[in-house]
Amino acid sequence: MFSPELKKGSVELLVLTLLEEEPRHGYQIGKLIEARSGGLLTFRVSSLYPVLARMEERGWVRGRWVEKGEQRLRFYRLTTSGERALARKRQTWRVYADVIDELTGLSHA
Amino acid sequence: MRDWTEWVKEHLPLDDFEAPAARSMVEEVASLLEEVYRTALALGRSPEAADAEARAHIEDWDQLAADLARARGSRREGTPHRAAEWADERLRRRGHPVERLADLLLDVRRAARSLRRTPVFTAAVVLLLGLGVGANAAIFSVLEAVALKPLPYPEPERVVTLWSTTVERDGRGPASFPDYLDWRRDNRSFEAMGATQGMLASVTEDGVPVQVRGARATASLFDVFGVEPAMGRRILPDEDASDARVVVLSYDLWTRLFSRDPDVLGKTLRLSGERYVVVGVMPKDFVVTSPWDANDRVLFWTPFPPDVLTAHRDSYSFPVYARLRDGVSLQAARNDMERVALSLADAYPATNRTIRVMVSLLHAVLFAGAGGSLFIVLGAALLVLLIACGNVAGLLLARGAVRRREVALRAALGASRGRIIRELLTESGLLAVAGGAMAMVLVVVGVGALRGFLPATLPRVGDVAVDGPVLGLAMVLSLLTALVFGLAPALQAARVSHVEALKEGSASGFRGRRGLARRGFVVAQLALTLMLLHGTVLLVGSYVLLRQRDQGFNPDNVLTASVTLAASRYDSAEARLTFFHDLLARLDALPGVRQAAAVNRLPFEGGTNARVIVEGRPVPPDPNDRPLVERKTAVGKYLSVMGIPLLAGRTLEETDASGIRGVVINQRMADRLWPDEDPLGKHFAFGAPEPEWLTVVGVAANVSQWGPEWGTLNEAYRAYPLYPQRTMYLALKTDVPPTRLIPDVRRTVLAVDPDLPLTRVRTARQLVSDHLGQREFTTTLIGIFAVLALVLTMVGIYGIISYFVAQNTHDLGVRMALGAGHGRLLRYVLGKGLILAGTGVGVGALGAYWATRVTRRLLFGISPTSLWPSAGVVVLILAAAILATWIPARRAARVDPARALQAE
Repeated sequence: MFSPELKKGSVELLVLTLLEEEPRHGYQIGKLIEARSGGLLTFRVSSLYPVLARMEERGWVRGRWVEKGEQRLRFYRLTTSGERALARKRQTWRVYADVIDELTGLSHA
Repeated sequence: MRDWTEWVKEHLPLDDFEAPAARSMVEEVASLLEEVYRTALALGRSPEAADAEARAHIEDWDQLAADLARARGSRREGTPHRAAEWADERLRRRGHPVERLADLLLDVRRAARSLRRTPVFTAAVVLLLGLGVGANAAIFSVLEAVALKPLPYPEPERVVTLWSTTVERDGRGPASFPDYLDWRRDNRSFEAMGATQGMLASVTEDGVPVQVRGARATASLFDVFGVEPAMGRRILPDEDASDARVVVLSYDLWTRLFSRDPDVLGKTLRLSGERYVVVGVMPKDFVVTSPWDANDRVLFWTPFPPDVLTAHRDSYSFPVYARLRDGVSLQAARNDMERVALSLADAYPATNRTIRVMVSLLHAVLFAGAGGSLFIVLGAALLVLLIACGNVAGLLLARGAVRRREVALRAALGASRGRIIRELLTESGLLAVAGGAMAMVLVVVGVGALRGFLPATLPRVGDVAVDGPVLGLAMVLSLLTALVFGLAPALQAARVSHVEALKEGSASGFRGRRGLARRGFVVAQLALTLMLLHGTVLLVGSYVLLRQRDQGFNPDNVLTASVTLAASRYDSAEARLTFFHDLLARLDALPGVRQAAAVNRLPFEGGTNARVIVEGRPVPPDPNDRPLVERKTAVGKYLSVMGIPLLAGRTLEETDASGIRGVVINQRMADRLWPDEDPLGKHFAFGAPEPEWLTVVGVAANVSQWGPEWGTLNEAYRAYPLYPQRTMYLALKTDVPPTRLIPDVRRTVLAVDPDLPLTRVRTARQLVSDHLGQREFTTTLIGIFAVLALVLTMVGIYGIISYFVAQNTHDLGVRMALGAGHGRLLRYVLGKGLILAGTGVGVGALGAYWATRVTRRLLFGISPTSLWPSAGVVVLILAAAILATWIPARRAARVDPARALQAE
């Protein structure tokens, strides 16, 4: 069965994927998702930050304050448990997408 | 730059900011917002814009607090966290109005942003709503002033008029005075009944004689209207039928003649030279008009003289008004008056055998006629609104389709269905408010423009203005429109399975339920437009036929004006004739005047008629079986001035006043009374007991007496001394533009009688257009609406076909790749448009057929079901549909198969 959190899980999947490449700070993550989705997916601080907080609480990512000029930014990197979570989520999403494809393929036949 | 940490602390509802977890949260949110701000600055935004952009990132602080609390608690899933509980409680308390308002503002801001991103769509919807609603509200404000506003009396729905009519009820007219007295005595339905009789009097205003309309009135008339004077008293019951020379002034006349002198009571007013004492002034908003013309206001009231009591029972010249008793219905009053009329028929068979009473609400008498055609105009405006709504709904559906992916993604990211619907509806609401504002502007502009071209004959035309309720109506109508037509697309968008929507390239706006809805809207638009166009073609056709119709006279270069001789000064036929001889001689001598004449009634202005008997034929015992003839009298060469052709015999001579008593009759009378004989030399007479025979000496062409729509009636012109009317119209054939002579004519009249006002000064052309004015107005407005409807519908068709082409580029590319030629693709897309157009025409034809039941009474000389107008409109609609389909169809035919397939 698919978890009922699947919908929200897709945001986590996206964030984890970006952090897999390199550590990033919060707003950068939002901007990247927006750019890579061609503007279709946009995030506000109010929706992105709770996701980061939740993942940090679960130990999937670890945040660290970095001084950058006169600014302080909090960068996140993927933890080992985060990598496992990412792999799991990728797997779930793929199965989910295949099933949906199949179902909708049937319904269009 | 603002201190973001402080700002977050101010807004984020946390229970304890000093807890390390909370401090870290605040700091991080602040740093994120600062980053947003800096990024915006780096992109070239102003500091204010950057600040606003950053602030917009937190839409809902309570929600954020709840999410954060839940995130913090997520490690111990299942055990409710204290902070999460607390934050959720705050969310539950959301019912508070202030917080709801804050929510709403948030939604509105988000909707406004979303609409700004699609300026063309937004402008189109606002314009459509504004046009549709504005047109309706503007017409409604005219209708309200002209026909809907109640009369200015207490309980105006109880005020009725009583008319004399016949058993067949084939007409109505004023009552006779003896009948009025009996009606008043015998009825059980009215708490008050009063009689009146119009009178024209000349008064001196600023040293110039002017004619004003007043009325003789019974004391009881004031009970009927239920209004007390603002000053002084009304006419008293013991002044009824007396020689009391007292006058009650209207507020208007008090202002005009006495400059609102507070000491006017007891002062003298000279009416046509006779002295009256002012005893009262009515309040400002008290308006009584002639029962035939709601713009013809009564300016003063005086008692009836004693001789009214000797008026004959068959002399019908007293309009009667009454006030229904409380609780008595109009129908009950009608039954009651039928009983009264039958008892009078028994008591006075000679005069009353066929006389009955007609009871009508005064409001209906005055305003129903004009209201009727305005309601049809309002109907046309409503059709335009519906068509505009069709376009708006189509646009919203298309927008919904385009945003399917966006909506689906948001749903996938956890936005609830309710939330999405609320957002889409907020957008609709915002569009509605903007459309309403646009409509209000259009109402103000439109009513201003309408006032310029409203026909002067429309009742209460001077009262037409924009008022608050109409503006409110515009806003409400706009809101309703946008919400109703926004709801369907919103529900549809929210229902869409996001997974399906996320699949690329498969959306087709032409298939499925969404496509069906859009096609339905376009078909409805086409049908409504066809109805409107069909009505317009019929109305324009009627108008053109009326304009072209030969009215029997030549209105070019003719000036007309009315004079009413004072009875006291011109008490004999000789005195009156002398006056007219003198005046016409002087007018003839004016440079620019070719010929002057006088007549008792001009064409279109109605007239008085009487029954005649013909010499040598049996006299029908029942007067109702005798032919009715319009009574005309003329001084001078009236026929030649008006260009009315003489068909046989000669025109009237001075000598026709005596001797053989020559008369000129019209063609219709000749045909009716002497169908197979030469009418010249034949004799007939008005009035039976001792006939004064008249001799037909000439036959003139028919002229329509009651207006262009009416046929002609029998008509006989007699020499003036035989029918010496005090009110006569002057008619002058001129060699110069007639209006240029008005000052000269005025001077000439005053030279003959310095107390005689000249009234109703018009050219004969104006006379014609006064009578066609309302029709012209109605036809023009409906015509404008029809053109608007056609344009909107073409936009609608264009929109849906364009959308179809855009959505099916891939499909079209495949067809082309498989070898379909340009021509074939063009035909394919055109075919789609034509199927829509054909369906719309079919539905519209049924609607148009039904609508002719409403418009029939506005038509003249054209059958509502005649073939050519209908066929023409169908061709026009199909042509418009093809034109609107052509552009997107050509685009489809130019699809590059390679690119179309690549897009997949």
